[in-house]
Amino acid sequence: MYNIYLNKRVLLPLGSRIRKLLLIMKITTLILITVILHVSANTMAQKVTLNKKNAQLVDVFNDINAQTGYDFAFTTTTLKDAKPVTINVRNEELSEVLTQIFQGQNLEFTIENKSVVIKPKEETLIDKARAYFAQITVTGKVQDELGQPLPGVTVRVKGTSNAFATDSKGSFSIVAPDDKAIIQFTFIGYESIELPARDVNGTTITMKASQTNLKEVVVNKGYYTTTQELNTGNVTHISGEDIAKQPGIDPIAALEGRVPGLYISQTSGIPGANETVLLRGRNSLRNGNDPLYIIDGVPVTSSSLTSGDIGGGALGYGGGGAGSNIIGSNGSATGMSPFSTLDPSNIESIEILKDADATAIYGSRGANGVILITTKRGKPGKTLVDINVLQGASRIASELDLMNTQQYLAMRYQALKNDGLTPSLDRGDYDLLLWDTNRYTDWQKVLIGRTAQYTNAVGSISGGTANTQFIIGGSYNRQTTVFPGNYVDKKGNAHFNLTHSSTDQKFHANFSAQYGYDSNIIPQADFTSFVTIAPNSPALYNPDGTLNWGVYPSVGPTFNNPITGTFQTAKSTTGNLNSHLMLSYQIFPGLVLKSSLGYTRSEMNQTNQQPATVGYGPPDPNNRLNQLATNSLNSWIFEPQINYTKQISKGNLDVLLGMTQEENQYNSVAYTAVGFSSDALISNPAFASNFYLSGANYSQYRYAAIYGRVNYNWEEKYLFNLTARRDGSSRFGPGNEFGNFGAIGAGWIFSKEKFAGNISWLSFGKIRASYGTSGNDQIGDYQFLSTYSSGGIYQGVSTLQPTAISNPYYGWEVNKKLEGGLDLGFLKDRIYLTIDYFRNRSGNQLVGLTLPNVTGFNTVVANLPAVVQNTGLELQLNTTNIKTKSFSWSSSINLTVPRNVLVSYPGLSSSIYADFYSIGKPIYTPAVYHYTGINPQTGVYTFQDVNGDGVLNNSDRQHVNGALQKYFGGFDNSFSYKGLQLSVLFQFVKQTGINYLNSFPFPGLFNQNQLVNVQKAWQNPGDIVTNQRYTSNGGTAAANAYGLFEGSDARYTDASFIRLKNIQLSYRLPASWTQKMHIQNFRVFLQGQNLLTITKYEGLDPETQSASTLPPLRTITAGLELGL
Amino acid sequence: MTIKIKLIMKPNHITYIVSLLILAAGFSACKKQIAIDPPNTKIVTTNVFNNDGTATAALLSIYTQIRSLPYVLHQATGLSSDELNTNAIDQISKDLYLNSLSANDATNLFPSFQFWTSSYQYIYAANAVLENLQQSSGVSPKVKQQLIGEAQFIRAYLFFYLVNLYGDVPMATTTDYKVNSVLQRTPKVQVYQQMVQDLTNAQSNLSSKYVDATDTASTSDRIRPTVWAAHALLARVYLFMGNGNYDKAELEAKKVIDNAALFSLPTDLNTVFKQNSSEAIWQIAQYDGSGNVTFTSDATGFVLSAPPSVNTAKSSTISTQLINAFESGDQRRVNWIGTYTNGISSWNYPAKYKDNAITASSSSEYTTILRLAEQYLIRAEARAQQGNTTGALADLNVIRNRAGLPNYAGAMDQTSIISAISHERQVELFAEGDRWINLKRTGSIDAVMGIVTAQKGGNWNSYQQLYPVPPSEVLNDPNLTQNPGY
Repeated sequence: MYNIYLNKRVLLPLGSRIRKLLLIMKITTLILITVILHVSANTMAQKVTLNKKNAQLVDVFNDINAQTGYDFAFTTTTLKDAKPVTINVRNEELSEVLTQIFQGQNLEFTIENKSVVIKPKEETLIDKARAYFAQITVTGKVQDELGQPLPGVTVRVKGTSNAFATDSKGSFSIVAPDDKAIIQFTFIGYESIELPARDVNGTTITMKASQTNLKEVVVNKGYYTTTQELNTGNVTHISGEDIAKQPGIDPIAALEGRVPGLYISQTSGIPGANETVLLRGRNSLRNGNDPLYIIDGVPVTSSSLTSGDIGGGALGYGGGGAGSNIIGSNGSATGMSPFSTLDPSNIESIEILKDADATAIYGSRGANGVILITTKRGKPGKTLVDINVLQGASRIASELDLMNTQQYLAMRYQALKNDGLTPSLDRGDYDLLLWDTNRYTDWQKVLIGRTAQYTNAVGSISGGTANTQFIIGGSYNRQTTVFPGNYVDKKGNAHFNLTHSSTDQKFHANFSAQYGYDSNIIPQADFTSFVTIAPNSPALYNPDGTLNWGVYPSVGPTFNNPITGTFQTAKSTTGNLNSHLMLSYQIFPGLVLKSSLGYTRSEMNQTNQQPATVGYGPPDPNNRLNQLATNSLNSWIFEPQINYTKQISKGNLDVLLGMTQEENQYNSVAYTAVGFSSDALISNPAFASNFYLSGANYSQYRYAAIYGRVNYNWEEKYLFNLTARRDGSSRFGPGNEFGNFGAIGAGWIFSKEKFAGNISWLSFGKIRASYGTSGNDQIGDYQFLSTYSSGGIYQGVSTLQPTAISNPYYGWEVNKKLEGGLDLGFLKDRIYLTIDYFRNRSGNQLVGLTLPNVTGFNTVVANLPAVVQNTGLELQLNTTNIKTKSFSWSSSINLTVPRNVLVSYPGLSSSIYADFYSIGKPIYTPAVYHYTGINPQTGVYTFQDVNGDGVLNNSDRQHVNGALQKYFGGFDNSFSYKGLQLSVLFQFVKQTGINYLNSFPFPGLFNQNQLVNVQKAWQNPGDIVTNQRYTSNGGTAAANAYGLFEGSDARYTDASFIRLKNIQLSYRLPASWTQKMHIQNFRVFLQGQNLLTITKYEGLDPETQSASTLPPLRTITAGLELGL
Repeated sequence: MTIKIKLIMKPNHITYIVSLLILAAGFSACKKQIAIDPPNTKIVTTNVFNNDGTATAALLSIYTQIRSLPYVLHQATGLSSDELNTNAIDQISKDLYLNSLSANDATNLFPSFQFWTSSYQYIYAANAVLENLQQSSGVSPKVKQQLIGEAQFIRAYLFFYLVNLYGDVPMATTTDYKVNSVLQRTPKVQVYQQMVQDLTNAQSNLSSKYVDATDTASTSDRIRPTVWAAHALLARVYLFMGNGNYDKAELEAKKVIDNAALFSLPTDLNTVFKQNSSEAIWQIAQYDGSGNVTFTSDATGFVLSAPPSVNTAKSSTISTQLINAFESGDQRRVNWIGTYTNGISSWNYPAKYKDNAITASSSSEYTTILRLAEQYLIRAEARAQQGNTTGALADLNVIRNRAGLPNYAGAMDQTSIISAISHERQVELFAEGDRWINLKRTGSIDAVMGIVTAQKGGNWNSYQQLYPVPPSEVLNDPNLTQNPGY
């Protein structure tokens, strides 16, 4: 039969000299052959009948082959630019038919021995000469729709490497081969334009800003990039612009409500606070749920650097060492956010990698997804100076509805009456007997009611030529708190990025570096925890200005003055250096050698100061403490890479092979300085008479891997992507160090099929699927080693104490991910919909197993046999609703419907987690008592005695749905009218949460205020009310019942909310004005965050679900942006 | 590790091959690439127990931690019983004082939580010393013997208080978390038997002289357990085991009392709690981070230089019940109780330990855990229980006379004498964690607390004589139950 010889490239590049020689020889032979061909062609008499419309050349060849038996020889690259053929012939000569077919093609053919050999048309010397004389120099200008000159636009002669960038005035000059040559204009954010040279020369080209061209967005998948169109995996791309809209919070928190599948909850409204991040639910039962964060190719730890030995004040304790990646057993990290020094305005984009296809190449660390942060780069064109200044204010967004003095006192009297007691000084009923019962203080106003100030200033200089671009920038940020006292968070950031490409585009280099500095001064305790003290508590200060302790001669002090918290500060200064160098060289077309080198260093210095005057009485020098800690994390990473691309047949093959070598070193030393002779000297440890070590930690982490990717796409229609990684980590004991991970992804762009060509409203359609594995090594270092660390001193000996319970046998946790997705674009992509379904199964759960303290410690690292499954549906819809010349409205909505289930857990019932989990149910289903209302006779909460044995104990607890999200998402709208722009982001969460009762002890206690609605309490037999009887002390039936109540299903409540997360209104001066002012850009804006929350949740905030930690604040900022 | 790569390229693609070789070579040393040094801030366990110095350091760390427990015990049980009042306004202090504890109190900073978790942590450390030393060949025999003896002693000491505060408790005698995490409560009787066994073993292992950090050379510092400490604690254990064990209690106490060369009762009550006092059988030193002796937790926590605080430290005062328990002329009332007055009111506080940061520049005291006076009272009661009232009175009067009181002159029947000894314990051992557990041992707790709690302003419930087990423990150990009532 016949053969179509594919890929028959015999000649290989042998150096340019040989190539030149060959060229001369070829041209000579060609001229000869052409003559011969004409002769031989005439001698043939093969008849062909064809009727084709817009047919592919290959299809036509197949037909001819069938009719004549002639073979066709060509390479796929040869036919790449072939035009479709329309031909209608009956019994024509083959040579005649072929001549017709090749008319207008950039191809020529020869017939040899019943074979048709197809080659690209070679230029003859005459052609070349003609071409030289036909060359024209095209000049012109490029501007935007507003008439502003556009510098940095790439102007290229189509099909050549001949490219230039427009200068600051938008002007360009480029040499084209002839006046029919096509000139391309491309610029990020604008629709590309292609025009023949003759239409361009001497004119001004207007480029239109591109609309929702989502599928053309280049997505960063870490080791490689692709476009949203050709992507086989699930990657969400968030632009830096959206991040910068939310000042005052770190860039990770700014993702809240914008990414399907990503659930972020802020742990506190205190500046610098860390957040809890869950990408596609909790995979790991107990801990290790953090995604992998990578800034410009360098992995950064998501754990706080805050010392575990001294803590970070009101932000709580850190993970006990970022290097060791230990996080709290509930999966929430506390302490200072490691991203707080990252300047949001310096972010170009953030990519969130979710499925196996996107994450398997990260192997052991991709189980919980990967978040890639890319910083800004310079653009070719005129040197730009951008300045952005904003000023704002924050307040708490909601308040607790607490009782006033009359209500509080009534509750207290009733409580004593219920207990059959009368107020007594012995019992300490100071609020009833000693304190002024007419006094009222709104403690929320006093302790968390201030307005926090926010200032941010950012500047950058950027620019460059087509080959070299740079950006240098810096920012300053200052933020105060809502607390009394002088607490302030100050940040400075400098960043730099340099990109260079050699003129022949073979060598590329990119260097980026950022240094961020953060000085954070906060109280040692969150003042929010004091707002529930008695409303008739004494004043903070005596009339003479001294601290008031509520001193009564008969009993001494009666008041624990909360303002003393302002004397105790926790200060941390953080320095963060993140640098990255990427070099790449194209050895020959298709083969690129890359090398990526990263270095990061984070250093945190902490001091927690406590003066002696924190309590009543003579200052006890023992109280004067200054706890100091220095924590540092050094890490480097080296990743060489080979990338090979090749056209094979109608497809494009892309192969990547690389390796990683990484090392982290964490060091921390904490010591306590004591023996200061006065409070004034505390800040300087040199005045301490004595020091002792509070803790020293060191850990080293090494990681090595080899990874690869094979990608093949056939006509940009059928896409395959294979990724794999073999990992070794020092976190595992002998024999368990290595793990293999891999994934396969596939996509089919069906809108490019013929049948879809007729559907005019469907502009894009892609189905994709992926399956693969990734791992999790989020445990501390050395956990497999049984070790002792230094303890106190005894008999002159520095002692040694057991560090932890060790387990040498644990191995990788494996996460299997399955995903199916559908991308649809309608009406020229004005409506763009992405739907994903995922299923993640995490087995061999690597956890910090919670232990009873009877074992000596409360945790051990081990593999649990449990399998946790997270499934979910994610939906993202982007629409351009209205688009006229001056007005546009676009929307974006995302929705996530997560589902979590514990698939299996052999031996659960006899394990320590029997009370926490239940097979077949979500992992948020603790066993609790079932609340059955208030006994109208006794006025005490009652619970279901499930087994009917008359006693309420553990066996009466049932698994119920705990704090769980049903669905969540965000709704973003953006309007623009001429220079005016408005964007509004709503975040919505449908969930159950922990109600306010959990933050309050039982009502009726001394000095413990309650919410107003607690007033509806039982008083007399027969009362049908919502709250049980008050009681003034523990041990009573009511107090015990309250304890059970807090541990019953009554603690869960609807904590759903819709929040107006962010709103931004901006106005950009028209180009005509700015041109007159000789500036590039002038924009003013007003931003609001967390402006409105619609919720039924009673308590401070449905997100933090606590009445004792500061909720996320409401912030309003105004600013201006200036481009010179 | 090696990798095989199928070459699909033409052989003259030297660049490909070279690059791949570099990659492969780089990766062939994979195991090496992820090899890390052991942490320099930690020592691998096997290296800890292969020589005398670090093995000793591993044991001594228990004392550096255990030293905070006595004060926790003194304050908490003092509040729960009739020894102390509190001015603290936090709920946990109030609940302790009003005998109105709930299980929810047993979290975080609650003394009961601290006592439970700390005790088991130190028991783990002791178990680790025992297990590792038994396998070790690098530690010299004499050192090994002393360290094993001390670990056994510490384990018994901790279980004694666990049983007395919580009732039946899980008995962890191994370091294996798989075993310990699912332990049930062991009946009190069996835990006592374990204490007897540990202390008997300890007696054969421990040195009869106080040793220094070499574990063999003797020193005047009484801050390591000796064979005498093991006798003294065993005497107490037998007394608490009650019927059938009084003879053994008497015997063990006698061994300590008879060692007059080492132990005697100082006449000056103000020297009893001094460092290495002749009355001290076992003390714990409190060192700061530089190895200097620092103030005892008792002095820091109890001694008042101002009216009692609303915070937990410096908030406790001596109760009226205790003040009234002193006979007139009792020198203990004079020397061991301090008074702070602001001119209008005055407050009494435990002043057995006196040196604190406000009054002194350095401490001359050690926390005294076992002392001779208790041994006299143990023997007195053991003798009385066995019908030897003469012997009992002799011992009782030694203590009375030292306090400046005349010989006992009350009723001479056995019951009266036993009750007199009980009263003597109240005034001799106050604020030393004895009263609360003795009320329970003697079965008088309901009678006494029924009155006292009412005087404090609360209601006594008998179940409050046991502290609640931390709820997290009940949650995390499937076989552990909460104490009844909570």
